[in-house]
Amino acid sequence: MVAKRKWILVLLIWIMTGCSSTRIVSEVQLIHSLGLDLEDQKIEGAAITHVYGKETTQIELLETKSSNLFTILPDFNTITPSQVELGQLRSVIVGRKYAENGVEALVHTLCRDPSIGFRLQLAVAETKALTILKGIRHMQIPFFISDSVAQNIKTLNLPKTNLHIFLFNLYGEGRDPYLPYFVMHNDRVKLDGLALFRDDKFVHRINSKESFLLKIMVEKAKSGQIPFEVTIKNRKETGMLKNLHSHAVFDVNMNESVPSIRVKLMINGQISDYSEWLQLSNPQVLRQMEKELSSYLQKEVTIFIKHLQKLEVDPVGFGDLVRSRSTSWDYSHFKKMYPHIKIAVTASIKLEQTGE
Amino acid sequence: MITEWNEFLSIAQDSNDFKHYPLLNEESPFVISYYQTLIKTELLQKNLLRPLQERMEANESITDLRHFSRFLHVEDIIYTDDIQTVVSKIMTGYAAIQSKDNLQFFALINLANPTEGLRTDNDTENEFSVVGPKVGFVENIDINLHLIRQQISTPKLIIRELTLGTLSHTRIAVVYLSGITNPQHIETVEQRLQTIDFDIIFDSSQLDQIMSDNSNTPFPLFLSTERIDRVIYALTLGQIVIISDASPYVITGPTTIFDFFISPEDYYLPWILSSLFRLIRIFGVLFSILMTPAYTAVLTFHLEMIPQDMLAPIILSRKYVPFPPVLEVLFLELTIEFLREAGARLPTKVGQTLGIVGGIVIGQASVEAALTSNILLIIVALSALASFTTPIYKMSNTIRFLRFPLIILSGIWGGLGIAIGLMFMLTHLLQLKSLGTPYLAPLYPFRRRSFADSFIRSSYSRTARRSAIMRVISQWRYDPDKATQKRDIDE
Amino acid sequence: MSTSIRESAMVSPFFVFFLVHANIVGIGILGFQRTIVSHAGYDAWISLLLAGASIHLIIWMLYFMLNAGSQDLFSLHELCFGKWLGKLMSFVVLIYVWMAAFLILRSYVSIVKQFIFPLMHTWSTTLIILLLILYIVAGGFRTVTGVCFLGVVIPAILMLPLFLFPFEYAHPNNLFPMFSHNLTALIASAKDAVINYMGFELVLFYYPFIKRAAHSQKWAHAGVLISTLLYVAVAIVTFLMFSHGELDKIIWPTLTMLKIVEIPILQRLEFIVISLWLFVILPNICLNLWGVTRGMKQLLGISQIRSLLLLLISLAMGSYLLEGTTPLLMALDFYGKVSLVFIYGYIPLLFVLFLLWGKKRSTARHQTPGPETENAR
Repeated sequence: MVAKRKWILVLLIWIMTGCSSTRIVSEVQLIHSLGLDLEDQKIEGAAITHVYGKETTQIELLETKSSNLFTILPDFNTITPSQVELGQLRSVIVGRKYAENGVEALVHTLCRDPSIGFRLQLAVAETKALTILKGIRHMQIPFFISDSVAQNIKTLNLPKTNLHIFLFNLYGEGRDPYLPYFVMHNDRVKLDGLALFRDDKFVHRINSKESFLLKIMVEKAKSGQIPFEVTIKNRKETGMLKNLHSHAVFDVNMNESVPSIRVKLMINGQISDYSEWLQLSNPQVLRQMEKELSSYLQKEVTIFIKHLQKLEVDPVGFGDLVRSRSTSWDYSHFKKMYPHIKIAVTASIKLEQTGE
Repeated sequence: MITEWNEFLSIAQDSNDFKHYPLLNEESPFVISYYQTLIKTELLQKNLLRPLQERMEANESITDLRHFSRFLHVEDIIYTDDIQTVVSKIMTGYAAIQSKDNLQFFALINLANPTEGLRTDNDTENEFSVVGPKVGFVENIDINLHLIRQQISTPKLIIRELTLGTLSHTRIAVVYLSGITNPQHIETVEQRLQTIDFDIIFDSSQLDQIMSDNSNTPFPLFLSTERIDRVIYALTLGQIVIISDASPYVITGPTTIFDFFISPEDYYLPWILSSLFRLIRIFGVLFSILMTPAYTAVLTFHLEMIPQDMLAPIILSRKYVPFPPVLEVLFLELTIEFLREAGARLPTKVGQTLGIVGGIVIGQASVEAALTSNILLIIVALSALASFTTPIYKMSNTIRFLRFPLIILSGIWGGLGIAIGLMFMLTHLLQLKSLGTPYLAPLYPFRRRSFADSFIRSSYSRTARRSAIMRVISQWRYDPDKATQKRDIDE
Repeated sequence: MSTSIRESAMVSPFFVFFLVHANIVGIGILGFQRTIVSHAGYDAWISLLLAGASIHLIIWMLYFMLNAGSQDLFSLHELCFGKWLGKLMSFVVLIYVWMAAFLILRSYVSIVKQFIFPLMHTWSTTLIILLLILYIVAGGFRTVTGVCFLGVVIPAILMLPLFLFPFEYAHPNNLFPMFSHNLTALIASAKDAVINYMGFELVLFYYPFIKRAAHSQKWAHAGVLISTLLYVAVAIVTFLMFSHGELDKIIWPTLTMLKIVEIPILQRLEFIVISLWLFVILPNICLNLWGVTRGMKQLLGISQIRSLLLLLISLAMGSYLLEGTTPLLMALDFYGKVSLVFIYGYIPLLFVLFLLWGKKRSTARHQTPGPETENAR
């Protein structure tokens, strides 16, 4: 037991000397959301943080300005009483201008920081991140961006996204990343479509409908909805197609000098709002409806892909697809080829009974 | 010869309960000596004084000691001239009678009162089970041995007695089943018992510590129990049982750590339930040991690990606590330990009240006063509760103890500190042996077959074989084929 | 044999599996993916299989020599090189084994510093781990084996399930085009992978402590096999999750992969994993140190406890002197080269020498069977 007693002594010495790395959760300033803007060659940083009071907790906004990305965080420390911690950072939102200038430095820093998780949400803000964060402070919801992104992935048209997926698409050859896009809408922050990137630079924003088209191509989606307009029995019909589960298959033909790709989309869906004259309980009508919807979707996706090719962005990862099928792969060569590769789309939609 | 006797008298007469006087009256030729506290006065009256008086009144003259056996209706009269025997017999409740003519010769009459002051009620007091016998051991070794023999009626049940303690001369019994228990273990036990040099053996728990393989361990290496069914079960599995006089607790060995999480009730309930309960007990131990250190580690070092929804409650409840989490945890754990110690020392009724009042009032007040967070209060209370699930009291004390080093380590190195503490603990367990049997068996050394009755309890058809850990001589307890008859559906 | 070994200090052949497996898997599995893809790209899992297969061959050689009567490294050296040169070679090997222990400890502490305690001095962490090592190794070979056993079982139960989470982000296309690299590239990657298999060579030290040691060969092979499969599995999960470009940016892919894991009551499990990784690296360090203490006893006659204290002090001093990541990486690189030479150069050389004349000498020695051969039946 003498040995044990000595240990206790040693331990006590350690307690006195060693507690330098403590970050007690209630005594640090936790940043939940970080916003970055580019303004006159300087980086404006803003952060959403909690201030816990006796009865109420408040959301506060910290703002700093710096010439360098890496000094933003230390700068926050100068305006808060307690040490700033990124361990509970859930989202980083960048202004449009910042995004246009490239986000590689930012995401590389995030990726290297051990206190930051891979489920962190990145987003792009319409004009300025600061306005979005101000909107969040106004709403007093600290985790707004990450929660709203998660919710939209689960129920609506947003393809799965987080820091890891962004890094995967950014650094992976033959892919381009995309991020959710936030705008201000009557004092409220609104998730509106997707920001498409070429390499690490923002190039184009797509709307919610196109975001659905992307979603069904990049993943086995279990949600999402798209408005449609079809002509059936010589009458125009508009409504909402709800995706229950979708599945995309890609066929690559490498025989020619320029590869061609066939995209087969299979969707099990449901239409919820439609006019009463349309008798979907009739199998024949249902078949016809499925056919019409398929050709509608086929047309939409084809237009969308054409558009992507014109923009020279590849969020679907056609390049990666070609890479995985080719013995010799040259990314720069593919980039030149990309706008010209033939991509054919077929869609087959199966409607499930709506249960009326 | 006579000097020895005089020496004894001179020492003994210092004690007030030693009686030494002429029988009946001053003229009597006989002198009697005994310890009043060891004999039953009734017996002295009935068996000795009254018959003697009757003879005297009948004017029968008794001069020779040997005549006593003629009229005394006592079966246990010893005649001797060996002072050693006389002294030791007096010490166990005999009365010694001498004739004044021949002081060298004694008649020893058994007036001992072995049951005086003992409980008549032998319910188990600390090891409860709802189902199963509630008979427990008492402070008398003869009754205890009797209880065991009643249950195991086979001549294979061997009881070996010896006396230990230079002052107490306590009777110790080593009980085992010959032909099952490994003779090496028996030899080890007897050898260790015989080499014990200790003044007072008051309880079997002392034996436990004295003859333990490693005295520098917080873990109990022998299982001590007051339940008869547990002891019987231990015997049938090939363990050795050691009973000490004057102790209602009996120790069994060799043990493994898993034995301490077995409740006799496990064998009375269906095996699926008992297996679940055993797992719950082991989970309870892990919870009890790890929960507060984990709280400390996460709150002090790993704030990344707190899920989003827990963040606000944790911070809010801790916002005004002035100490770092490690001190907060130690404070609350100490409070619980105070309550537990106080509750154990106080009379039952007061103890209960104190437990409730203390628990509620102190807990509530310290949260109000922002000395602790209420989340921690729940965690500490739960881990205290979880430590009570261990059926053996000694083990649950160990678990109480183990928490503290882990809390301190986690306060210094966070999760790494917990890992270091656990590794120390596991290494210690790896090194421990009970009567030469590895303590962590059947995990290490790995004995797949013995898992049937370790942290789960399999059905009786699977526990027919005795555990290989005990290195028993005969393996089978019963024929498992008779217990399970394989049948097809609808046959 | 200079010392005879108590029966109670020996372990059953089954545990050779854990001794081999626990000592192969260590710090390397946290970050081996990045190095092995540099030549063979995402075909590198084949390189892992190749490296594993070569280790099987080496294990076979070791067992051949040990079974043929050489008992352990020291007598093997004596048989092959004669008394003095043999002792010298043994000493060199001891330094090599010490170095492995040192580098594992140092790497672990640096990971802990990087991930958990960026501000803390490493010495306090090093010292407490050294105390723990002292406690374990002082418990003798059985305790060290027990730690190896627990170091396999506990992490396997707690951590293996975590590697199912990344499947949510799996991109099977990453693995294609498969077999697109030629053999040279695969072998080059296998060369980089071999350092991760180090640890099995300690069988040269603990062989006499195995009951019925000749029967333990199958367990040794099983240990290598399972380790190989584990490496391949982890590599494939990593390849599925990360694109090549992303993998290049990440230092500890295995840990980073766990950044994606989130369970309802806890998120960011990599912090638990780093802490529990202590259970994985301890067997490595402890068995290595145990081997060195045993060697010091055989060669110099220093008692094991004394040499253990000496070694621990040397480890503490070493960690203090080798501060910083760059020298550590250089040292790891150096160790990698040395271990390549050791495995593919030195052990085959020993094997040849043993076949040439060591075997005859050993049979000559065993003409008069001592109590030792009785034990090793």
